[in-house]
Parts: sequence; C-alpha cells; structure tokens
Amino acid sequence: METIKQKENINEIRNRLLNQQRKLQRRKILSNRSLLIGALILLAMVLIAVLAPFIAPYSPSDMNVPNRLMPPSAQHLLGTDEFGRDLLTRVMYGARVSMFVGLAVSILSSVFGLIIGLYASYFKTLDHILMRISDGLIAIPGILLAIALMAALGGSIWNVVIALTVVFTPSIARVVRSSAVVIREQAYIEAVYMQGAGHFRILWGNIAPNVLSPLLIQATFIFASAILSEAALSFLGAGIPAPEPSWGNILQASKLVINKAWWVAVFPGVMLILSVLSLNLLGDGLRDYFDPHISARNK
Amino acid sequence: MGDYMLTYIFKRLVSIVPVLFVVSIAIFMIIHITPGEPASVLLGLEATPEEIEALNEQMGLNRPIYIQYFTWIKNVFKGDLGDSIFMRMPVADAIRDYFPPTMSLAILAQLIALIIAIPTGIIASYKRGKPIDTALMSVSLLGMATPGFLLGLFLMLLFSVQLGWLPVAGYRPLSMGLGTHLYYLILPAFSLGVVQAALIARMTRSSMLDVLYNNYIKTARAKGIKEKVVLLKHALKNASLPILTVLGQSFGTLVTGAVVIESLFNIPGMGQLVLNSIKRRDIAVIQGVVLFITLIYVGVNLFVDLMYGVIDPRVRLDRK
Amino acid sequence: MKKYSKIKIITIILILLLTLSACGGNGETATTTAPGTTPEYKDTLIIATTAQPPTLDGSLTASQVSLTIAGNIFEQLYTMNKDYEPTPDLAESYTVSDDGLVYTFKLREGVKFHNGKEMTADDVVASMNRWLEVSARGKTLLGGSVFAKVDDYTVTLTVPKVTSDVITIIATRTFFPVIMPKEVIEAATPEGVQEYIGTGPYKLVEWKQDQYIHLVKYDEYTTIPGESSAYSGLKSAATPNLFFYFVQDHSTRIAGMKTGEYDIIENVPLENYDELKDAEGVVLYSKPSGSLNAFFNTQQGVLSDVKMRQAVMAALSMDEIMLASYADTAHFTLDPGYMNLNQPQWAVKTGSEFYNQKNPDKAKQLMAEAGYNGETINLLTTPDYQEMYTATLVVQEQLRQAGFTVEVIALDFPSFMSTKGDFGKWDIFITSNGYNIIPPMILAVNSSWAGFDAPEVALGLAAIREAGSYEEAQQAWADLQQFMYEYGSSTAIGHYNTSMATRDSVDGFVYFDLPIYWNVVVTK
Repeated sequence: METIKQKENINEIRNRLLNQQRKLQRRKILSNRSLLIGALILLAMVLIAVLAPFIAPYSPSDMNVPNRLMPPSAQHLLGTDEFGRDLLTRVMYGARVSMFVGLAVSILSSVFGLIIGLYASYFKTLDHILMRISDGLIAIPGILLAIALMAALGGSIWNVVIALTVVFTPSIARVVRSSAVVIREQAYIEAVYMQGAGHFRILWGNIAPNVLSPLLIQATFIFASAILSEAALSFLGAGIPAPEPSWGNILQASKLVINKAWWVAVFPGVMLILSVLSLNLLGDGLRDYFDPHISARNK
Repeated sequence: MGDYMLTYIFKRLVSIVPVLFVVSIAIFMIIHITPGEPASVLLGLEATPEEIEALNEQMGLNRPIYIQYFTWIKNVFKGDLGDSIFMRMPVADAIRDYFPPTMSLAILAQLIALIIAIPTGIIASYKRGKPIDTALMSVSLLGMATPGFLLGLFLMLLFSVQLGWLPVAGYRPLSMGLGTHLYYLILPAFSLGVVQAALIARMTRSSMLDVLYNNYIKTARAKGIKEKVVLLKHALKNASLPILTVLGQSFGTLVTGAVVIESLFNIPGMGQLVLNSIKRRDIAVIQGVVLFITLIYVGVNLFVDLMYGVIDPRVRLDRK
Repeated sequence: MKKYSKIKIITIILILLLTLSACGGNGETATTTAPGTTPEYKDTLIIATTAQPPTLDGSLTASQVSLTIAGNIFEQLYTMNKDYEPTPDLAESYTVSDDGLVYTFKLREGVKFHNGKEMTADDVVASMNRWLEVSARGKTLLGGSVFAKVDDYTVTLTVPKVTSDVITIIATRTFFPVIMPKEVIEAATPEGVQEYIGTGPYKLVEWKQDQYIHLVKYDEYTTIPGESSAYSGLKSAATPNLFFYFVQDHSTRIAGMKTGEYDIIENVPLENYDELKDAEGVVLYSKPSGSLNAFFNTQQGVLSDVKMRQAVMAALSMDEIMLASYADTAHFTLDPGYMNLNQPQWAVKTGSEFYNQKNPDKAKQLMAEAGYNGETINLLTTPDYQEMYTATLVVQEQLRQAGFTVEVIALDFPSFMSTKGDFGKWDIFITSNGYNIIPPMILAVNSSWAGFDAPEVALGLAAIREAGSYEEAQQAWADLQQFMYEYGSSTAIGHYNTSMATRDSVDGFVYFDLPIYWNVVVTK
C-alpha cells in the first residue's frame, strides 16, 4: 500500500514535471513563433519596399485623371486614387517611406540615446541636466512635439526623421541610462577602474556592450512607433507631403473620398497594421530571447 | 505617515518646476523658428506681404524672442497665461472651454477600455494556454498594432458611411443631453479605447498569472471558496498594482494624446485647440495648453504613485 | 456595496449605449403642414459653414466666411444689386463735384446701431477713414482720400484724382467698408475692433469659439422698403435666429444636410455633390465664384526668363488640372479670363492663345531656346487648401512629363504666406481667388502679391480707371489681360463653381457672390 502510494506520488510528480517541461517548451516555441512571424512579415515589408521600383505595375506618379477613383479591377488590383494613380503601386512605394522612416528614426535615436544615456549614467552633473531635459521632452505628448517641429521644419521625409528622432531619443536615453547605472554599480567595473582604465574605455568597452540588448528591444518598438507616428503626422497633413506616397498621406486623402472609395482607406491601413504588428511581435520575441525570465511572466 | 506623505508630495511638486521650464523654453524656441506669422492667418489668403508686415509690427510680434519669453514667463508667475490673438479671450478661458470634450472622451475611452480589458485579461489568465487564451491574446496584439485614427477611419467607414448608424463626426456638449453627448462620442472613444484595452488586457493577464499560482490562492481554493470569488476578490485585488500603473499611463495618454482622433472626428478638445493654434501661430495658446497638458500628465503620474501607497502600504514612495 | 453600485453604473451606461446605437439614427420626424393653412416658420435657421471666421472685422479680412456672417451684422454706405450696380444702403444718395474730386453723401436718417445709438456723420467719418487706413486695398485704390463731416447727415469724400470707380469700390462686398459706432472704431486695436456693433438686420449674441456664432434679429432695424436685389433693398430678418456652426469636416456637413440637422450648408464638397443631388429633400445651388490661377516668379530664378514661363504655359493641360481639383466637368469652366464670367464688361478672352495649350513639344522647344538645363522649378503650395494643393500636384506631373525638374514645397498656411514673399524660394504657386468687382482689385495685377511689377500694368490700370466709357474701359482691360499672358506673369487655370445646399423647406434663399440669409424662412 505504502509503496504504491509513493509510486503514484512519484508518477504524479514526474507527470507534473514533464507537463511543466512541455509547457516550457511550448512557451519557448510560442515565443520563438512570435519572433519568427514578426521577422517574416517584416521581411516581406522590407522586400516590398526595396523591390517596389521593379515589381510595381505602374509609376507612382503617373496620373490619369479621367480614371480617378476606380474600384479594384484586373488592371488596377487595388483600384485608383483621386488622381487616377494606381493604388497598388502607391501602397508599395508607401512601404519604402514607412520602412525608411522607421529604420532611420530607430537607428538615429538609438545612437543619440546610447550616447546620452551612457554619459548620463556616468557623470552626476551631466545626468541632472540631461535627465531634466529629457523629463521635459517626454512630458510633452510626442505627437504634439512632432507636429510643432514639423511646422517649424516644413514637410519632407528627412524632416519627419529629424522630428521623430527628437521625440524618441529621450526614451531610449532613459532605457540605456537605467541599465547602465545597474552595471556601473557592479564590482567588476570598479575593478577595471582600479586597473587604471579611462572613463572612455569603461563606458564604451565595459558598460556599452551590456546595454545593447535592452537597447535593441527598445529600438524595435521605436521602429514601430516611428512608423505609426509618421502615418499619424502625414494623416494630419504635417508629415510627408504629396506626391511622395506614404500610407499616412494616402489615408489622409482617403478621408475626403471615404463615401465613394473605401479601397483608398482600407489597403494602406492594412499594410500599416501589418508592419506595426510584425515589429511588435519581433520586439516581444527579442525580449523573450534576451530575458527568458521576464518572458515567462509576460507570455 | 501623514507628514511623510506631505513631504513626498511637496518634493514631487517641486520637481515639476524644472520640467515645466524645459517644456516652455522648448516650445518657445520651436515656435520662434517656425516661419509664418499670425498676421497672415488673420488677414487671410489674399493678403499681400505689406499688409502682413504692417499688422505684425502693430501686434508687437517683431520684438526679440527673449524679451517675448520673459514677458510671458513673468505673467505666468502672476497667474496670467496671456491672451489668444484669435479667440479674443484669455488663454485660461480657452483651456476651460476646450478641456471638457477631451476629458469626456478620455473618460469614456477609459471606460470602454476597462470593460473590454479586465474580463479579457481575467479569462485569458484563467484559461492560460488554452485556445481561447491564444485567440484573445492574438486579438489584443492586433489591437495594439492598430493606431486609433485608423480604427476610427474604418469604424467611420462601417458605422457612419455604410450603415449610417452613427454620426460621421462632430461633438455635442453634455448640456445637450447625455444621450446626444454619448451618441457623438462613442466612435471616437471606442477608437481611442481599443489600443488601451489591448494594453490593459495583456497587463491584467500577466499580473493575474503572477498571482494565480501563489500559495494563498491555492489555499483559498483548497478552502473551497468559489472560483469566481477567488478570481475576482483575491487574485484581482493582488494583481491590481501593475494594472493600476498601466491604467494611469493610459489615462495620461488619453487626456494628452487624443490629437489625431479629435482631428478625425472634429471634436473641439485640447488637441484641436493646440493643433489649430500651431496653424495660426497663436503662441500664447500653444504655450498655455502644452503647459497645462504637461501638468496633467505629471499630475496623473503622481496620483498613480500615491495610489500605490494606498493599495499596498508596503510600497515605499521614495523608492527612487 | 461600493462595487455593486459601480457595476450598476456600468450596466446603465451599457444599456444606454446599446439603445443609442440602435435608435440613434432617426432625428426629429418632419411634420407636414396641413393643407389650406398658412405654413408656420421655424424661429431658427441653422447654417453649417466650413470654418470659423478669423474675425468679423471686414476692414481686416477678405475671408469669405467672415464676410458672409458679417454681412448680416454690418452695412455699407452703398452696396451691390444683382446686376453689380452700386445701390444706396446706409446712404440715401450722392453727388459729385464738377471737378470730379469731391463726393457728397446724404445719409439715411433714423438708422440705429445695435447699441441703440443713432448713426450720424461722426460714425461714418470714423469708420470710413479707419477703413481707408487699415484696409490695404482701400489704401491702394483710394489712397490719399479722406472723409469729412458736413452736418449730422452729410459727409464728403475727397479723392486725389478722378477715377470712374469710386462708388463701386465703396460698394464692394470684398473689402466691406462698413459703418460702426465711432466709439467702437476708436477702441479698435491692430487685431481689430473689440465689439461687433453694426446697423444690420441681425446682431451678434454669442460667439462660441470653434463651435458657432449666434445672431439674433435686431428689432429696431429699419429696412429699405421694396424689392430685395442681391445685397441691396429689403432685408427682413425673416427668421429671428441665425446659427452659424463651424463644421470643418466635410462628411459631417453632408450628413447633417441629409438628416436635416442643418438647414443650409455652405461649400458642398465636390466629391459629395452627386450624393446630395440624389438625396431627398435637398436643393443644390451652384455658381462660378472665382478662378484658380497659377502665378510665376518673374523676379528671380529659372522662370525670370519669359521663354521659360511660356514653356511652362505651353505644357499645361487645364482640363486635367481642373478635373482633378474640382472632380466633375459640371463644377468648372475653362476660360482664360481673370474676371467674373457673369460680368459682361470684364469677361474678356484675350490671351487665349497662351491658355490650355497642352503642347509639351512646344514646351520642349521653348525650354531649349531658353537654355534650360534641368534646374529645379519649385512649386509652392499649402495642403490647408485642398484644391490648390491638388492642382499643384497635377501641374507638377504635367511639367515633369514635359521634361522640367519639379519639386513641390508643401507648407502650412502661415509658412506658405511668408515663403511666398521670398522670391528666392519659389517659382510657381497656385491659388484660388474669389472674383473681384473691378480689374484693379484682382491679385494678378497686384505687384506685392507675386512680384509682378512690369510698368505696363500700372499704365493699363490707370487707363481702365480713367476711361471715359464702358467700352473704352473694357478695351483697356482686354489689352492688359493680353499683355499679362504675353509676359507670362500668371495664367488662369479655370473658373470654379461653388455649391451650397439647403433643405427644401428653406425659402427665400439667394446665393449671390456670397450667400444671403436675411430673407430666408424655413417651414416647420
């Protein structure tokens, strides 16, 4: 009796353990899956963006005014816009703008954020000044700050990149700083300093490599936010000026013809959702990859 | 405890001052490098450059920037935010007029978000790993990826243009009746609420998961307490801290960041006010509104931090 | 207990929302008048305008919304009838001295301002002299003129030189020289008058920022009896309350018209014209109201060469630009003229050989002759005005096809205005310009508008203003228009219609250059 019961117990425990392990694996696959799906969709977007000039059926600027607002057909798979331009072509070229803005903003704000965050974590006075400034910039709603900057700079793709970089750099700087402060307090940094390493070497040789993973995760989300912000800015008429096609400015134009031509709103909208979704998935996936502990909680 | 609380609040309030300074200087500088004059808006499309220049001179907008800034900041300390060039009223009055729509929108959006998110999060955590969990979390991922203005556009296409059930856009104040008020606000609030709902649902789920596998929940279950009570009373209460954080943040975003939705649905709120003022180069209004919005943002954060202490007395407020 | 009440509240709200979404659509049901009875009229007329006016001070702005609303509150000495003839309004009559330099106006007696004060010569002199000082075009056209009081009901206007259009200028709606109380004029700041007190059939009750303006019938208004003709004659304030809602969003205006929420909507967007045409209970009004023009930089840059300007004009296809900007051929007219197509005296067709050429080959040849080498042509525009923006994009594409290198500079409105003043930064801009009464008032001949300052313009304008007869003036304008096309300072692209819609219960509405509301009634 006794042994059987113990056996049962052991079996139960083993089953439970197996179960847990399976769960863990499944979770890992799941998280990998989000990384995978995200990367795949993003890859597709990037391909469309890069290959647009070769695969698009028409030129994005060719107008055919009498043919305006034609519904999707064999000739124009996604229909035409208010100038009779091919919507499919314009949506493909729109991917170029979105991908470019997203990439440029995430790279630029990562670079500036890294520099600012690192130095702020290391020098007390500088920290106070930089963090007060970033507090201020963060406190202004991002979209308002971007709109004001765009009014000042004028509408162009580079100006959108500049404005959004100003908006997103402080949040990256904060992430970098908080990770760097933790590392800085660790004993081995002290040891390196004792050995006579200079501030520059400690900062870039010892601290910087350790903040790269949170930076990468944050940069992925900034990529998504930048795409969204560009779309919102262009939607308000403060972003990429026509005739350069961007999903945001196609959506803006769609609002005027919404009761006549649903397709002008729907297709760029779906693309926008897909690309943001892919980046969010990718970001989640990366976070799981770098920090399985957090992932277990969030997933 | 009381003294300690007060000191903490006081410290936090003092720390707002440099933030506001940075904000005001940043905005002032941005507006200053922005080309274009309020005079040209006042005079309209057909005005000639000479007319614009003359009006500018008369309005004192040709003075050096630092003089304009110091005049402004001096008045702010006296409690005077200045006057709007266009609206012919003090900026404070303009804020008072434009704040209610934004507030209504934010409250309704938050309500919608909560109604969707809390049950979703609880169900998902309870059915963790089951198809329903996966389905709900996938939908929430989609919700997080859909910007409010796009959802608004789609909803407008469906409910207003195709079905004709709801107004395309516009705003009716509460004074015209709660029904009318809500009838006009429902689409924008929903568009705004969904993204927040997705966020809150995910947060609720993960906080619930943290709690659900704790011993006291197991004990509660072992005691034979009904599952519903376990979930809602014991688990949710203990999971409420992180949820509250997200809630505070999301309310902050709702109040401060509804610019695009307000513009899409033509709601005369703070976002529209500041957007129009940027277009009109009405600097006093831009400054006043941005300061006000910043204050709200900081205020909401402070409130959330204080709530931590109320919900869980173990939390020390000055942990930073 | 607490939780319970929260749940209750939420449930109530949910039920509310559900009921709303279920039955929200239907507004009030229209009541039909029983046959045989006289129709009953509503006491409120609701008008949806496109934007909030920047000000109601007509001396400062030429904005259409301002003038439409202000026209109910303020009045002029003279105003226009439907044939564009100056007709007495606050003045009774005028005489001109033999040398043609002194105009003497007899004022109507017993006219009361909205503050109860009687209008006298002092108010007229103060208002008109401020207008001469503040309104830039008043200054340009009547510079050096001055009003003076003779007695309480007589004023004089002394002009520096003889022209034939003095009364026309005073009577025009576009610059709106209105009469306000002297005290209001004296308290005015550069931003405008502080109070809106006029003599018109309506007075201002409330201006809710970014929402509406509410006007109410002025009970002591004394109208000129007799027939009403455009801005002149009888003004009855037939509906006691006028509400002007500012509804920027087009779809909202359209939806509001269909449901009957608004009695009248201004500016029916072209995309929605057909939709309203098919809608039940809606009446549409449409008329030419201005021209879309392209202005060339004659001062600096690539286009300072006349050959290049002609090359640009050769490349343009006006049909396409107008179609893209105004959606349907029903909404525009192709015509090289700059003036109102309904004003026979000024609607001349000279310069038509330069208009709508659609000839890229000729453009290429002219470019070669000018030695064009791919320098960028900058098109300045603002997305804040949809039709100007759209036209600019089509022009860009047409010029690109013809072989020009073209860039669009899109700025918000204030930046657009200030950049326009900088000749180093643009080569072409396109604006839609409302009609003006006489050629000297149009922007195409105004040197500070786009920098077009050829001496022939001033001479041509003088010839028009000092001409002895109708035909002589007409010929002088035809010659000037021809010169402008040859010189390539600008080109008309086309003339656009503006449309408005009313419910079919609205009666007595007149859509002249601006909509006229004071004789409108709405059956219940």
